Amino acid sequence: MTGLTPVILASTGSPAATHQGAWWMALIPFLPLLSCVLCGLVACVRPIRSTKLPAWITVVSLGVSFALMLATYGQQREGWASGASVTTAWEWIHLSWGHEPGQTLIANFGFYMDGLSGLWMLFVTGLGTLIALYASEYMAHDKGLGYCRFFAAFSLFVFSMACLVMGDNLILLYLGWEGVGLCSYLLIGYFYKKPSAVAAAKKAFIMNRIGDLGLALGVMLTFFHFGTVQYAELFPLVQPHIDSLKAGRVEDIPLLVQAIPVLLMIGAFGKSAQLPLYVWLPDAMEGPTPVSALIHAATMVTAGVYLIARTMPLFLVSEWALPVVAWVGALTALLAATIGMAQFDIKRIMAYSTVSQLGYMFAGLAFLSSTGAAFHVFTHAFFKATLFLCCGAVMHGFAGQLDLRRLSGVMFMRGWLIVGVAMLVGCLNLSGFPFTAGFFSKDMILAEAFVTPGYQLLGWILILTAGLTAYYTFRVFFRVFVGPRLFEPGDEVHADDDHGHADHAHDGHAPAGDGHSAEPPTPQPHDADHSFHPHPPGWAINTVLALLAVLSLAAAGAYFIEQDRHGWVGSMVHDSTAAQVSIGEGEHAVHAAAFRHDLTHEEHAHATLLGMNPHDVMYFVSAIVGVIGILIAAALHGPKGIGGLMIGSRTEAARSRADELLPRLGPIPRWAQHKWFVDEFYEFLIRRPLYVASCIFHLIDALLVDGLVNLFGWLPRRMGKSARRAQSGVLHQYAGQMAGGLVIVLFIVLLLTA
Amino acid sequence: MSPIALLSLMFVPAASAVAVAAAPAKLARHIALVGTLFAIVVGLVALGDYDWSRPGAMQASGGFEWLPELGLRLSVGIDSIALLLIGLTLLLGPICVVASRTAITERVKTYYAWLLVLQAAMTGVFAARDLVLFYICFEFTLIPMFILISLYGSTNRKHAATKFFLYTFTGSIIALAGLLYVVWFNATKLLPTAFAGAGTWTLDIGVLTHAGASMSLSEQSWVLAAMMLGFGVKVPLFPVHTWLPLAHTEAPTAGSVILAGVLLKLGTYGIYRFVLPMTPAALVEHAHLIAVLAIIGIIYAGLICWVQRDVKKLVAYSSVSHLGFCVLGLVAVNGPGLSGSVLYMINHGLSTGALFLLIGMVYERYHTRDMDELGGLASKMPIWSTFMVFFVMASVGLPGLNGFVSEFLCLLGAFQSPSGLGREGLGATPGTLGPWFAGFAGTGMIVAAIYLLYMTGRVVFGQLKEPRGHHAGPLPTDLTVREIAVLSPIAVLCVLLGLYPKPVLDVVAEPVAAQAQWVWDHQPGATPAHAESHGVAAPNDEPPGEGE
Amino acid sequence: MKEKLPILLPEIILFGFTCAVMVLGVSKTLRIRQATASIAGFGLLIAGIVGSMTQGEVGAPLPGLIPFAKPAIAAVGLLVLLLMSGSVDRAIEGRIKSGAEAFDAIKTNRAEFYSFFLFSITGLMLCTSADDLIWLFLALELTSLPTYVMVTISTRGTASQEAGVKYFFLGALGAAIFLYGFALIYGSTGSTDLVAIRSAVDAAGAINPMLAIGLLLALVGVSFKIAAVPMHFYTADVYQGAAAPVSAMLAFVPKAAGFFAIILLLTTVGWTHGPGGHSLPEAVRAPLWVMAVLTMTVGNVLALLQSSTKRVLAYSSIAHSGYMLVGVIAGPGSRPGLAHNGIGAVLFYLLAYGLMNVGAFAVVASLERRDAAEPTEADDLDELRGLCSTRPLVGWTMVLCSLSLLGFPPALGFFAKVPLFTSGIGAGELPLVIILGLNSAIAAFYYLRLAALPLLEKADGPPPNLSPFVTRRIAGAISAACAVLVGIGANTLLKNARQAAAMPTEAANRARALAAGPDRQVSDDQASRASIQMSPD
Repeated sequence: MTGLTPVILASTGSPAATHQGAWWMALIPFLPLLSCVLCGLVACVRPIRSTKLPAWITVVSLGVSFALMLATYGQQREGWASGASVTTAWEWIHLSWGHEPGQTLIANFGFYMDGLSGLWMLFVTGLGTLIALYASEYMAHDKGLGYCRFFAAFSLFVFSMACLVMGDNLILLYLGWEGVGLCSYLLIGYFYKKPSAVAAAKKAFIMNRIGDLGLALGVMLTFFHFGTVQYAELFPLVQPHIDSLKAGRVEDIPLLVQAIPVLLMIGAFGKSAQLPLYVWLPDAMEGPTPVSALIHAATMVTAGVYLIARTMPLFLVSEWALPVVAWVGALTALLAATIGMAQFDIKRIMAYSTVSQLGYMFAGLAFLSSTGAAFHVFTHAFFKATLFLCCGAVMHGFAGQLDLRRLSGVMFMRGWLIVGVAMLVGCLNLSGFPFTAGFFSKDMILAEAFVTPGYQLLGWILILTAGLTAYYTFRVFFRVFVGPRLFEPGDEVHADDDHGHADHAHDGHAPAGDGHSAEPPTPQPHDADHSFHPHPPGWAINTVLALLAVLSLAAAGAYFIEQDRHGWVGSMVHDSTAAQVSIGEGEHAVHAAAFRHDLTHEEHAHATLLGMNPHDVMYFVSAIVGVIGILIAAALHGPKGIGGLMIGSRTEAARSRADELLPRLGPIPRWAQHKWFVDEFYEFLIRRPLYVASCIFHLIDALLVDGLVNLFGWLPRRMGKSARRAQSGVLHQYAGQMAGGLVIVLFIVLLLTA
Repeated sequence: MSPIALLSLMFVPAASAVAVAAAPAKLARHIALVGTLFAIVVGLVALGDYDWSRPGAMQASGGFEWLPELGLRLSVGIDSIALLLIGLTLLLGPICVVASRTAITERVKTYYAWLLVLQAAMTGVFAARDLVLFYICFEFTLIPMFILISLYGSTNRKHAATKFFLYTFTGSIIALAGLLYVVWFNATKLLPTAFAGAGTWTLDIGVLTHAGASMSLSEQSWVLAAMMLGFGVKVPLFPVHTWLPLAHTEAPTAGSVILAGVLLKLGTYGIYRFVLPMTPAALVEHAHLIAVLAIIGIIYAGLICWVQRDVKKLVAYSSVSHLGFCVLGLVAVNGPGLSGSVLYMINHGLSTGALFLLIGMVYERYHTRDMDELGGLASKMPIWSTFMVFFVMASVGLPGLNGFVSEFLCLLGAFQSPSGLGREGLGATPGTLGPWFAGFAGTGMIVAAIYLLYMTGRVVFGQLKEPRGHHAGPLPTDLTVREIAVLSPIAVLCVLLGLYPKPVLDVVAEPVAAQAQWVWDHQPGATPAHAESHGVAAPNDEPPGEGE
Repeated sequence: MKEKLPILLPEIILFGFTCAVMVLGVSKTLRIRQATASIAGFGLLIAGIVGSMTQGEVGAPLPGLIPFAKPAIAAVGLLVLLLMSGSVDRAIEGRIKSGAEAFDAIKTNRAEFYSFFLFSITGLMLCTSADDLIWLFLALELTSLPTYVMVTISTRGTASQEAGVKYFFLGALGAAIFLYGFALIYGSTGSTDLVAIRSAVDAAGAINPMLAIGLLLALVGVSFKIAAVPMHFYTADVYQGAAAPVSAMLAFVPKAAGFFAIILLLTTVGWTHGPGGHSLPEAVRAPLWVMAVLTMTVGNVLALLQSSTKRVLAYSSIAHSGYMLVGVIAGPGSRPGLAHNGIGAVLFYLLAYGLMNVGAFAVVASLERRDAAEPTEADDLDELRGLCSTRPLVGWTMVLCSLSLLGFPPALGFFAKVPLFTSGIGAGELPLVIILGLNSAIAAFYYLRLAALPLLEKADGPPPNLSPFVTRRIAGAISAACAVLVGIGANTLLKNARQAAAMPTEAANRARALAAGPDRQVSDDQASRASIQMSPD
């Protein structure tokens, strides 16, 4: 305690120095909050309730937020190099029980803007605006209370996310952390009449809560040890530990400090759907698709990445934290990819791919490539949003149909071209096709795996996963978007209306049993069902998709700007706490902690893969792996004669060549299709025993604890019954008893006086 | 603020009760409403000259001789903590009156009169500075509550009321014995030179606080055990909680609201006001035991909630679970823990009170609280459902709403009061709990999410399910303006306290710091140096909340 | 002996009135006959006022007792007297009134009844001024003997005759026991004067076994009067058999006499010879401790099971004796102040109990069964249902009195119990106090029922009839008012109770011993010196 005190004093003027941000920076989070309130008010006013007003309120407020964010960027970008800018809206928790350091807990509604939060906020508000626009059309069938509810929750989500990202302390981050969880809960459960949606919402919230507990304890431990939760004060306090690390005195770092990141990463695993807390994310697809795109793909799930990047200095000083993160990330990536390969619901496939890609990001963080992780977050946000929104468009158009066995050739139907092209762009990005944004961002992580000692194996796992990713991504594309034009509408068809009805669950995955049935269903040809016409997307959806497709390609550009600082994203990350701890002059923060692995900078630079610089060779390796994956997908799922290559063979929607190969793999595809029975495993190992325990507790409470109390109530009565026997009413008995009592009293006296 | 103002806060409801009893039945409700509102006005006027710069001091203190032979004075005084709790009591007054309008149609006069008496007694508990006056008010809350439950409750009400009465009465008699021991100790074992009031027969809580802290460890332990029995039953702390679910289930809505809102706080307030400062050494000695009970309560009661079918019983058990956090914060005896606890008392009163109101509203419509018979009310009662989800989230401890700050601080308090490991941390305070306690208690956050969302998932969401022959009453399907008016102030406070708890934390910080200081200064072998390291300097040897 | 006469003035006055009542009660004129009760009340009033102005003898075992106890006895006696109106001769007076029968002094009981009542009160007052074993014995018997008759004649049913017989035989057994105890005390110390015995004990420094046995025999015998274990068996049967007004009297008069006797007897060994120097000798304390615990517990647990109001009250009266024994064990305490003084606590509790208890019995006395041919008390608990709405005055009397008897704050019973608690704690009898607390909790169950039945339950059928005697309800109302309006004047009562319990100082004792010695002439200045040295507390 005494040793650290001077550090606080010395910290002013250090890299953590902050400057006053513009007041309007606080509007960035609060405009969405205002929008939330307004949507709520709209819901209260009957005449305007059933208009699209909530959507426009949301789009406008998010748009203004985005504009403000751009303005902030323009105004402050230069300043971030020397420190973050902080705008304090008001004092939130300010509790003092002493005057010494560590005896005041301060957590303000203060907003902290540096490269990292700037990066995140840019795509949160930007994508948020686009997706809100998309949703204005997508949710149009639900106008009324539901519409208001949707956009209120949507706006609240952006507010929470902004608090999470922009909060200048860990507790405000926690507020956002739980806030996004709440919104996720509300939005997954949007179709609240569907039991599966309610269950999924509950599962998401509870799974997240487990992580949140870790985060909360991590925050407490941080305060416990450092006496502050504010970034501006906290990170300078970590510096001494970094110094001792640098000097090779690892033993000087208290164990408690090393435990902080372990707790924090539990939170990150929960929010970002990593092992073992990932199971909620695929179920979260019960929510409306815009929600899946925004919350469960682009923004909220990257909060874990943000957290670790933000607190990177703390992770650096821990011996265990980063290796755990690396392994968890890589294994999650692999596991989710294997599950994704075997699913039939296209939205779920995207969900698993999200889990898998998040695994990459975590691995990237663990390889000390915050830039790689952040870059991947950035590109992923765009292309995954694109993918989801394309899926959403399909779902919207085909009455909730999501089964890839019941759709085919969508791209070539009238009005669906934009969707198909956008989907292709997204798929190329996701599978890391050369020169797409996903290609560059993924490579950055992969390459780092090979330069970081001890992680080669993980590198190979991730490369394998990249191949699998390419396969399952294009499995979707080939089966749904190209090939013979066939479709079967989902279960939301109504005789009089080909829209989903407001009261009816609109979204949701394909009919029950789907994805588990061994027998593929037979799709009906288009003209066999006259009552249903697919419903091509309107202008809003098309505009958004087109824009997103362009953006997700353009995101690659970020790699080429400021190349000397690992691209634009790298430069943003560099100007943040993720890189605040430096080991010397002029060195890149992202590499700053290489010493942690007993490497000199030189050695690091000389790590090789296949005898070459990993950063260079990875371009080829990953490109080749990706293309092979795509080709396999084309061969197994591609329509006949695809692209003149003659590798595809599929002539119908339901069947593909893969179906012939699968039986040879034994039960493995079935297991993968059942998600490796992880849900069942949890059910059996955790939920069920807990429930049984609850029942037992309930019984104990009623019988034992309350019984004991009742026993005390019963005892006097029982004693009364015994004593009553003496009250016979018979005179001589009374006399005898009195005499007996007297004798006893005298006996006591004799005993005591003798 | 004068003692007269404080006494009039007790007098106004009591007089209104008499007025209700005297006036015709159809006026009862109006008189009660006017009475409770007038009490708030009196409170606000009296607040005009409250000295906010000295929140730790006992203000408005003073009183009159009552029975000098027994040392009994009608003396009152409040510090900021009592002030907050009185505020909560006053606030819930009109809310309960308005909320009962349609629920209570028989024996209206009796109902409102006793409701008002209850308010007077509760105010008295928080305002009392005389031990026996405290005890009188503390006990006297039982009678109105007993009557409210046994006259206006549901089917099993008599059993519930009797159990409630006997259970808490037994506990508090033992507590009285413990407290009187302190009185006797002060009168006979202390030299008059020790401090002002020592060596005399006095029931002044401030003096007794001094006296209690001078007892030996074993004496303190016995007194602690006696007091914890009384206050623990009231809180309720595991394993003496079993009266609560029963009483809550059977009580009328307003009864549940007051029970959860204020009556349970009498227990935690008692711990704060008596157990902590009077038996500091014993408390620290046994803090981990109490904490373990609190944690068992948090998890155990939380899990029991999960298997409840009666919504009200679920919320009742959740009170047991929630107040575990409160007690945990109290026995952590440090700034965050105590502040969190005090805040928790308010917050729990608001959010759980609101949940009981909501359940009562459904009960009035459907005459059932069985989750097997009710479901998917969101499609039928959107406004109700919105409020329900809101207060469930407040109860779960969602940041941004009121529950979070207090829960977090309680846990933080427990976390950073370690017995061994990591005492050198900057934020560490002396203590006997530590990260493990916070970790285990923290699982309560998960459990709370499980059972509350389970309840929400069944009652609010899902397919609409209504009991047969439901809803014959005069009420419309969704909430009426009156009902919204009842809930709205609570909701607004929940948001305000969640987003801007600073005013409350500010006024709480000083007395709380002094309290913690007091406890640690009165440990066997405590030296001033030790005390100094703990924070707020103590210029004089005043017990927490002493002096005008 | 002449100097004792002023002290006995109240008793003498009462005796005069007793004689008047005895004569006037058999008057042929209805008005005169009816005036007997008022005359008796007037006598009590005067005796009480005179008693309050009477100072106890200097150097008496409890010199301050008289000015507190005698008015208190008179006050409770007046309340009981109000309650007693119409207890006897109701049927025969009715017949005389209607002309069906001529007045016949042999057939009426009025004169006996009221005169016996006054005799009994006289005996009780005599107890308070007793300083000699013989005197004490006579006073106790004067208290008890009339009650045997009163129980028997209180109703015309056989139940009261049976009760009377039981009461008499067992009472005689009790009297025999304490008389034997007195004999042993005399035998071991050679004196019947309480102060002289005290001096002998002090001189010996410890008590010998014979004295201990004698004392305990005396205590156990007297405990019949207070209905303490093991002499409590008769209580419920007798209380139930007697008419409610007489039961109310039994719950106060003999009990008070018994406690005065016990306190006086215990002053002979004092609360200084026990362990720690502030308690009774262990040989006395331990049996008393056991008796106290058993008494309160047995009383309470038995009361739980009853369905007759009178039996509930009877068993609860046993329990209250147990509570008061705690104060007796605690003794006068080592410090000034009522809170430390168990004896003062007992005295105050006696008064409080007397006041509250009359109210509870008044409820029974005020209600008559609807279906009975002859007027019968509505004694069933179920008949209390819904009284607050059907018979508000009676109902609320029951509610308030039973809450007060429970010791619920802020009723009188609570303030009576607090000094018992504190003195018990002060005497180091913490376990006993805890047991007392737990017993209060057990008592809560049936008292709560007594309070809840009138207030909260709905009546099954039509409510019981009201007794035609309004004074009974007035007695109940006064009692209920006393139970609740404790704030007014309670402090004076508490102060008086404290002063009443003041023990004489050593100097006063010596002076008294001198006076009781061979030379019984006490010079005036000697006595005044002693009184100056008396501690004010």
